[in-house]
Amino acid sequence: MVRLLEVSELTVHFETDRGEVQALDKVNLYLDKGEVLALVGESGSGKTTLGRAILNVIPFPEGKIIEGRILFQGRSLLEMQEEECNAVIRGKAITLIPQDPFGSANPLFTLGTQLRDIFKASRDDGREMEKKMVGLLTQLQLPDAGELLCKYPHELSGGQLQRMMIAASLLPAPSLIIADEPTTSLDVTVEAQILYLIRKMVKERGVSVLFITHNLAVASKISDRILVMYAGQVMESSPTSVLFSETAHPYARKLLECLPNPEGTIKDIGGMVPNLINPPKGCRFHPRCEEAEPSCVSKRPTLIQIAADHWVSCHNPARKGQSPWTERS
Amino acid sequence: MKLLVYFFRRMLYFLPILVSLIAIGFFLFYLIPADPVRLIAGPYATPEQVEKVREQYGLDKPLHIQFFKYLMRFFQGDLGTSIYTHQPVMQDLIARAPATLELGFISLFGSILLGIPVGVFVALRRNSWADHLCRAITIGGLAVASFWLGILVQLYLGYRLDLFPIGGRIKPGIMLKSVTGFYLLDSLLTLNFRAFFDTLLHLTLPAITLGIPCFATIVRFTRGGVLDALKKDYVLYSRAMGLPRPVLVYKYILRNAIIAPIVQIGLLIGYTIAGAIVVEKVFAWPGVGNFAATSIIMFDYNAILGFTLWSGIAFCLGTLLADLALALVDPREVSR
Amino acid sequence: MITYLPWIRQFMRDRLAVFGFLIILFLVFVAIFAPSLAPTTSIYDVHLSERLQPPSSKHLCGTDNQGRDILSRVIYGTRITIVIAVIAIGASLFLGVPLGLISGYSQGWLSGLIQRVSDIFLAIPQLILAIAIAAVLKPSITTAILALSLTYWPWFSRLVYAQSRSLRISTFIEATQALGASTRRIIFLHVLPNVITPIIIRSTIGMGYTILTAATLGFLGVGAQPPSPEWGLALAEAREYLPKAWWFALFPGLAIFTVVIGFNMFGDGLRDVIDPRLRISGK
Repeated sequence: MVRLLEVSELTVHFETDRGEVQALDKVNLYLDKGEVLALVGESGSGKTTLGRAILNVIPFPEGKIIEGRILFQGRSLLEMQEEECNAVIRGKAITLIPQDPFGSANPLFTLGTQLRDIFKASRDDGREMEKKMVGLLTQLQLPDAGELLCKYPHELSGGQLQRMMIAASLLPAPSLIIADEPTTSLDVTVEAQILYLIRKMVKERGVSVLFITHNLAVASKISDRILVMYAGQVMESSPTSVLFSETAHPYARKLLECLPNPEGTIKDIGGMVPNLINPPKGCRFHPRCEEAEPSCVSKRPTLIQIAADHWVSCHNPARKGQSPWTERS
Repeated sequence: MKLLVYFFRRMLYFLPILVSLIAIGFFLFYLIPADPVRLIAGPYATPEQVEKVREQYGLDKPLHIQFFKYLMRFFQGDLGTSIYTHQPVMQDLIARAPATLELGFISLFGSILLGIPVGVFVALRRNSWADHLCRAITIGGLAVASFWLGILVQLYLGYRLDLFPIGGRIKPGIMLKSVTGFYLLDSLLTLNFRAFFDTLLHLTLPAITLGIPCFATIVRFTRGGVLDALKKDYVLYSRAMGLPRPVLVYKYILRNAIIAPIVQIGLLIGYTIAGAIVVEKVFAWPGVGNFAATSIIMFDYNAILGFTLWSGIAFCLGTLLADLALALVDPREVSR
Repeated sequence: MITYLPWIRQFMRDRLAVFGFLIILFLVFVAIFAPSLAPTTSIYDVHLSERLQPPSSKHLCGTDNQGRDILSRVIYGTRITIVIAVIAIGASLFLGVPLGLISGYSQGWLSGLIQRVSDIFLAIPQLILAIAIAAVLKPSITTAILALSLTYWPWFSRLVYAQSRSLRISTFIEATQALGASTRRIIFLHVLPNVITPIIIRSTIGMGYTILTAATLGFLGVGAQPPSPEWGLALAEAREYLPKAWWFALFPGLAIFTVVIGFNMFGDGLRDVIDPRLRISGK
């Protein structure tokens, strides 16, 4: 069976003034048709870089893809020619919902103009596109959509603009949407609405979503599966409910412990996110891990399957059934 | 409609500046010197003429009456009489204005036409040899004294290589009918192509001299604008959504990048007016700048004041034009 | 000083900026040791028998229209240049910074007035205003310095105004006020240190610009007067003897060019190190 998206051993480095940042280290993931996969991690975990790598828009020449493969519908994306990528993949088969809607829309042009230029290649009739946009926006609970298209980005609110972005991502009927922290810059109430709408639209259309977020709670609401990343490495990957009930990786367990709890105690993970110019050897979480052993330093753990659809990258995963989440509730 | 309101708002902003400019002129020229009458009348005036001037300018009356008379004179277009040319200063300015405007326009227009494409070109090819060469030219171009550059250019391209004439607007002997005062326009209108080419030749050296700092500034700011735009999220989003590269660069990035250069061009208009003084002097260009340079040496008081006011007004107009252009490009500006 | 070490190291990596710094050092060195460095100290003595000699082993840069050694005059010219630049910028600082602080930090009519006045000064090209001032008073180096200071201060006051205004409404100043600090204490302890960085950067960039304007004033005859070896004045004198006496026009102009480039490169490098956000053309 050909999966929709398959990433193998992806390693990406960035050249900076202070040294070479090892942003992604042998990342593996897969995504099936119609699935919502949440990519969860702190800042610096590499999740945004991963999203950009899939679209092959990592800044060049600072960003270098050292090794790895990205297969989309069986085709290798990294080896694809730039023109073909633009014509077939970007904005067509794979679309993006950006993190900051205000930063991502060009302030000097109306939204209508920008959308028309983006979708001109696939739709010769601009009016056809506009009709579709208006239809989508109405479904996204944004009336007067036609007027909004004539406005400039700074004339809209955050919620309105982000709905625009979502509509734009759905317009070309893509197979995969990469949603890069789409609700991070929004108010909590707006966030709830947007999450609901995304889930609804996606399920209706059978679109797959790679949902990038740092918020486990948000991830739990919207995803079918969760992939936990830390410092550029994949730590754990499993169906959402399984992650909460049968957490395997020490880092994931710590993340769950940090979620707000009824007793009102605040817990945190000791230590700091590592410097990726000189990352820790072996498993990058070992300096902060309570279960760390000498082998965690010397040998980098690979993803091993511990159950159906449940993968962990750890020498010392927790035993089955021991989840801080279930312990609490 | 919004644009018109914006335009008037900006004009209104300049009104107090204009009045203050006139006030500064008054302060500088009538209040500071020990005996302004002597200076206005000139060193060769007879005692009777001096007294006449004193009465005419009301310099024996109290201050506010003096200022009022001065304002009245200004708005009637009376800027006094030049000691040197014995003509009304206003007349001298108007007669010489086309020459300066033509030179300034060609210099600025040329540097914009060349500077923006070059700026975009080197920004897209960062750290290439073209980029480094450009950086060298920009740094050099902004550091060079325009009169020195003018002299050098005159020396090598004019005298030594004899490629271009070393001074003047047109070869004496060529008959050109004056319609607008702008030789390029006039020669085209009267189909006098010999005059047209000769004018171009004469324009070359002074335009290069005046234009190089403009060119350097425009390249620098266009390059910066493009580099800044490239880092922005909207470029990433457009790329991620498959916007074709030529459209991205030449429609979107260009417009974002051009904002900073437009602001600079507004200031450059002021520079061209000011810088014209030395460049016109070096190339014996019969414009307002040359007039100013001569009046400085001659201590032609009225002329210096007239020129100062003219430059201030030209500078304000330049900034106003730049603001307008900015409002056309950036929709956020109009609401500001 | 130790806290500036990372900055100094980053600065050293910018070759152009270091080169600019060396030029400035060289300028200061030449100015201080002019009598020892110049081939002759009698730069005002006229030797009509030796006028307009091309560069030779005796006169490395040739002689001018009065037979004076050009190299020596250019060397002594560094003193004039430095004096003019330093005093003019210094005076502008002295005038502009306090005005900027007052208008930025206070509220009410005074603040607005100072702003309007500096707007007016900025609305006129600096050269023109300097010419007007210099023309009204008797032309001399002192007049030029005065004219330059009176026209450059708005750049500093505007900078300081922007910084102090934004700091005034910042939360940490609010907190300081809540703790009972006096206005004077706030200004000196908190506002001023934050303002120093852009001031330093503008001063270095302003030096180059001031030197150019000073030379222009000299060229036009409203600055230094003969027989001063000021570079702009020398170029004005040289014009009459073109195209034959090319050396007369070349060397003083070259001196101006070198010094201004030095200050510009140094200023750019300084700005890139201290506050890259101010960078307009990214490296």
